[in-house]
Amino acid sequence: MSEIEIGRLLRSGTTGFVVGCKVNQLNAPSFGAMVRVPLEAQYQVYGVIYDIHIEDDGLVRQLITAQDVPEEVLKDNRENRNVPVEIGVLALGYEQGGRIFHLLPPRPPLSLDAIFLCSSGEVAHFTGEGRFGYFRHILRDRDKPIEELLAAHLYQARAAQVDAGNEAWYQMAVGELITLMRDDYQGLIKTLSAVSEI
Amino acid sequence: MPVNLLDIQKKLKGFGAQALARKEEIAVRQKEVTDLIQGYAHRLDELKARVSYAADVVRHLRCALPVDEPLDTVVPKPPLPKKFTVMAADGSQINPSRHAQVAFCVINVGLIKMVRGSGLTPEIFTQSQLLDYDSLFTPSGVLISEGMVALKRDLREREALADLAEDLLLPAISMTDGPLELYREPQETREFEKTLDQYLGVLKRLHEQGLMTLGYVDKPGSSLIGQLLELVELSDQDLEAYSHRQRKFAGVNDVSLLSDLLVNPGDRSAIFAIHSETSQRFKGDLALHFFYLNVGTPGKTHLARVEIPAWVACDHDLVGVLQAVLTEQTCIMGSRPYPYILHRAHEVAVVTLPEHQHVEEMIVAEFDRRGISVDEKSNKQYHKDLDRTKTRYQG
Repeated sequence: MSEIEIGRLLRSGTTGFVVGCKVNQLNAPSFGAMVRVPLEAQYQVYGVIYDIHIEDDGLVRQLITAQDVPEEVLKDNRENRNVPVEIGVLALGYEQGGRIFHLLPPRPPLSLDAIFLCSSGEVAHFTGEGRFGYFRHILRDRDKPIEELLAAHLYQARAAQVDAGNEAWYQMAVGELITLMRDDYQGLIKTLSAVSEI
Repeated sequence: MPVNLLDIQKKLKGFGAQALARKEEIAVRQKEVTDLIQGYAHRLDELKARVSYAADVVRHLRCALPVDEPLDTVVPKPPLPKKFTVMAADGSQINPSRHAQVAFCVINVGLIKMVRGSGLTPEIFTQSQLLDYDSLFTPSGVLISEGMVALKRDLREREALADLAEDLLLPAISMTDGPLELYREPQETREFEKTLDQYLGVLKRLHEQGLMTLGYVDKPGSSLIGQLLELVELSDQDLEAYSHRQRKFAGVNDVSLLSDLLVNPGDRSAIFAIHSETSQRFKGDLALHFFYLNVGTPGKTHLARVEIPAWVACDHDLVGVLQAVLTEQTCIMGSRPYPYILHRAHEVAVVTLPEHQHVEEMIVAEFDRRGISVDEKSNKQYHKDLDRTKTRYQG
């Protein structure tokens, strides 16, 4: 299966990173999708997309005031102009020597490292390891739309696990979430409400 | 030291009063010129004869010259062709400076080509030229002026368009910002003549390639039509003493004269030729012409001056295409009309300060490699470049 590169790293930290991509690369990544950043042989960082952000500038604001914008002008702005789409990624863990760790990565990715969308097999491999330890990293950050992010992630991960023949994964994941959020009743209700949309 | 706003405040009242008085004077003159436009609207032969006479007795005469349309002509915008090519070039430059570590000059030209009606993404090009070291100095040994660099940049813009003009889908229009006419600085006559010859050669190439070319002047302040009508108001005796520095209709510009005529978006004025010393060098098919175009919105007139060569001006079908395309291009920019494609060419061409510094570092490194001694920046430049952000004691 061919790899889908979605962009390159703009800035990073231990808990997450921001990826820049052109608008014409935007058809691949989606909210809640898992990505990976291969850093060196046998070491890559995994994360989940929690935000897709499109910047404006003076020209775009001016074009908004026009009655009609020709197709060629739309394409010029989306493909030629230096207005990147910024994708926020939350670090979920890493892979080293073929082993998956649901811990924060020892070293963050560097500027301009290429970021790839995880294949269904890679999602199943990462999420199927251990006991959902990576949920901690999502639940920790209350500034992000956690409930929606979990729902989007579970939707995509469940499909990958079903493809891999692990039908029970989804029930186990929801059960683990209920355990982890038992002291946060309001958060749990919101999360279950979002998950019920799946 | 900040501006002393109290000093400014004291002068404001008088300043405003002066502006009002001047505006009232100009309004009186404007009424006179407007009446003359009506009176001479169809007397084109008389006007042409007057310009011909004035050209012999007035030095540095610069005015409009009617062609074949009445002075008060208004031509509405024709329909837009279904498919056409529109191109633009714009240049920016790093001027040589004696305050820098090394003398160098870069001309950067941004180009964009859009095939409207194709649905394709426009193509973008950048051409960066480091000027030869020898060409940075005048025969007297001093650095060439910023005006001379601007002239070379204007030439490069048109050359770049001509280089890109192979296999175009027609009709095809190319544009640059500012007049087609070139201006010179008095001290650089020989170099100007050489550049002008090259420039005319490029305009000829564009004609042979069938690529219409135009110069777009936003917010024009010229008074070419007013200067034409001034000539008929002066006696032969007064004409001999006429100077463009002491004008009868001073302050009345063409935009104010035509704003009430060209009321609908896309309306264009009559086409005029330009009579000036430099324009005399643009002969035959390349003779310089212009018209005014309302690129505004309903109820908000905004006039631009459009300069074109004679081969376009003489073909009213071509002018119609150009009029429709320019109106569409300016309309794309919404409430602040200006050709989209020209703005994009400008965006592509701009040399940023970090790029400027990077090029300078590359040249200094090359000089070091060859053992050529490099000056320090001037102290003036050093202090200008100091980081002006204040730091705060954090202890």
